Parts: sequence; structure tokens; C-alpha cells
Amino acid sequence: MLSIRRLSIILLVGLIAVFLQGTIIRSFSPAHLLTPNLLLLVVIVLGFHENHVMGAVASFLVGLELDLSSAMLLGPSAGAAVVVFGFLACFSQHLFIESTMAAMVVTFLCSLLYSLVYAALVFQFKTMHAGVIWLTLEEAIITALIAPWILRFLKRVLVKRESGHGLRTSALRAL
Amino acid sequence: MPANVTNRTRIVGTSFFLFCLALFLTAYSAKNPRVASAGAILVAEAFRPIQAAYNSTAGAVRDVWDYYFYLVGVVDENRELRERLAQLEAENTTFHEMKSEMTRLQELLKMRSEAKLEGEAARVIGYDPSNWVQAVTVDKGLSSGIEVEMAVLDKQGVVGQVVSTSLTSARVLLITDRGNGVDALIQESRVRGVVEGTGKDSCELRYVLKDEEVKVGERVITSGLDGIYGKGLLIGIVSEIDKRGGGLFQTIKLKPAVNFNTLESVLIVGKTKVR
Repeated sequence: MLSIRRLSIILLVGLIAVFLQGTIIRSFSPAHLLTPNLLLLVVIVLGFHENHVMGAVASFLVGLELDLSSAMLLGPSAGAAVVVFGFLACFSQHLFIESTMAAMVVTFLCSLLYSLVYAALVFQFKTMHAGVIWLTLEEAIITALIAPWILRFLKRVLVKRESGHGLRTSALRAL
Repeated sequence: MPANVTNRTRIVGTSFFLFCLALFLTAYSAKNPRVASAGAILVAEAFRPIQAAYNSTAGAVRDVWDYYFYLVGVVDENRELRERLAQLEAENTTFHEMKSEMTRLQELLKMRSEAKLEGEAARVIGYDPSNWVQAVTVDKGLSSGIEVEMAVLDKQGVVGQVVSTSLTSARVLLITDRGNGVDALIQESRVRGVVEGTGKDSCELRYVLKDEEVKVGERVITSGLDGIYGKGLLIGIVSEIDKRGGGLFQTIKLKPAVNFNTLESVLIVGKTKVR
């Protein structure tokens, strides 16, 4: 289970990701290139390594941080984050993201799911435009390209290291 | 029931509950925009000092890095000259930045005096972190008299409108955002329409009937009828026209007059009186 301290660290990492997306990454990205969804990567780490009730709450709060910084609607990012978390928590036993390619594929699919849910929530109340499809694909590709390295970093920061080795870790090492 | 199945059931149940909560929040904030703004104000106030500090050093650091990179091949021949040159480039970049800032502000003041616009000059200190929203944060807020629905301009043209404010910062929704609309007309033919954003530095002039004659290169300006922007402010130039689709209206794409990728200083105006 997540302690208050670890939950605070997760939320702090989320805030830093929001800040990076809105300043440094946007400043240095080429003119028409979208920025990667760093908060999605935080949710992916939570989905694989904190698959319990508090992990869902943490994902919800991380998504809410992005909504608060956008000030357009409160809730769509939180809802999308929770759906992605729920999907990963249910299927994490069958997914493997230790390799670069696997991490990219999983991130790409999660980004599509995230965007689908986000769009479904937002466009209940705002008009939709055909360009949304390209936006979704581009964001998914960009996020997937950087995912392996960011996920490894986030795993070191966010995941509590157990003193013993779990069955899954041993199985992975055997591979 | 196995423990992992019980855990999975709990996770799915919790996720479903939180998703419903998110749906409720979305619906509530759509009907009550102040709810979303209230939280954003707190976040904006917390971020503002960091954004302002980053913004003031990022340009200089980027230029120093660029100049150092390009000079490596030359300075490799002499280590002492490279260090001295990097130091001088950094100093030169700082002075250059100050001069550019002064020039931009002078042009803003000139535009303001020519167009009789009364407003507050502000600097862009951050962008919206989401790819779905085209908005920027500026370093002036309620304490400087900035209010929601004030027009935001650049020396090149219309930037957007203020959608939320905190004490020392404000959020500006750009005209390229899908949720923004500007009542506009084509300068020469006086054909009216609404400019709506399509995301990614582009926008379209909508609701123009197919039998209206529009040419590429024509200027699109504000009509002043929406009560936010004054009349005659440049929005963009017609870049593409498509009459092939079904429906009553033609698709007119615009190249915005403002380059949003290099946006640094803006003017936030209240009541506008354009000559």
C-alpha cells in the first residue's frame, strides 16, 4: 500500500512533469512538434508497480494535476488516467515492459486509450474537430518514443524497492 | 476467491468509481467554469515564480549552448580562446536579449499609441502542458487590472483572450485553440465569418457561404461585434480555400498573423478604440 510520503512523492513528480511540459519541453521542441505526455508515463509506472486501490487514487490525483494546470475542464485527464491505470492493473501480469520495444508498444496503446477517454469526456461538452485524430496519433508516437528511458527513470524514483525478491521479479531475471 | 482476483475486483471497482467522479467533475466544471479556474489560480500562483525565473534564463542559456556548440570546432585549436569566447558570448547574449526586449516593448508602445489601445504589456512565461489546449500564461494578473475576456494582442495581430486570472498571472486562450472563436470579416470584401482554432498554429474562417468570393492572400480582421476584440485588428491571412466538401459553407484556412512559437511579449487590452 502507498504511504502518505510516497503518495506525496508521486504527486510531486506529477507536478514537475506538468511544469516540464508547459515550459522546458515546449520551449525546446521544434515548432510544430507536440510535447510528450509525461503524466501518462507516471500512470503507466503506477499501473505496473502500484496495482492496488491507492494506486488508482494516485492516478486520479495525477490526472487532476494536469486538469488544474489547464483550467479548461476539471476531470477529463483524471478520468483518462484512472481508465489507463485500471487497464494496466488488470493486465500487468500479462504485459512485459522491460524491453525498449515492449515499453514503446505498451505506451503507444495506453496513449491511444488515454486520448480516447479524454476526448470522450471533453467532447460531451465541447465541439469536436477532425484534427483530433492526428493529434492523438502524434502524441502517442512522441510519448512512445521517449517512454523506455523515462519509464526506467520513473521506476527508480517512484517504485519502492522490496528487501526480498518477488516471484515475478525472479521470473523476469530468469528470462 | 484468490487474492489476486479479489484485488483486481477492488481495483476495477475503485477505478470505476473514480471515473464516475471524474465524469461528474467534468460536467460540473463545464457548467461552472469558475470551479476549474479556482484550482488553476492556485496552481498558477505556485508556478509563476518558477516559470518567470526559468523564462528569464532559458533564452540566455540556449544561446550560450548554441554558440558554444558552433564554436567548438574553431576553439578546439586553442583552449584558452574558447573559454574566453564563451564568456564573452554569454555577456553579449545578455545585452542582446535586453536590446531585443526593449525593441519589442517599443513596438508594442508604438502600436498602442497608433491604435489608441489602452492596455497592459505582459510577458509570456509558460505554455499549457496539454497538447489539447492552445493557451499561454502571462506574468500579469488581477493586481495589474487584468480581467477575464480581455483581448490579448501582439505587434503582429490578435493573440487570443484572457480566460482565467490569478493575482499575478493570467491564462490566455490562443485563437488557434478549438474552443476559441473570433467574429471576423475579410478586409476587402467585408464577408463575415467566425475564426475558430484548429490546434497546432492554424485556424479557419467558418460559416462563409460557398457563393461568397474569397481569394488566397486576403487579410482577415476582427469585426468588433463580439464585444471582446476591437474592430480592424489583424487575425491572419487566407492560405487555402476548399469548396469541394458537402454543406453550405466553404473551408477557409488561415495563416495567423502572429507567430505563436516565438511569442514573448503581448498587450492585454480592455476597451479598445481603433482608428
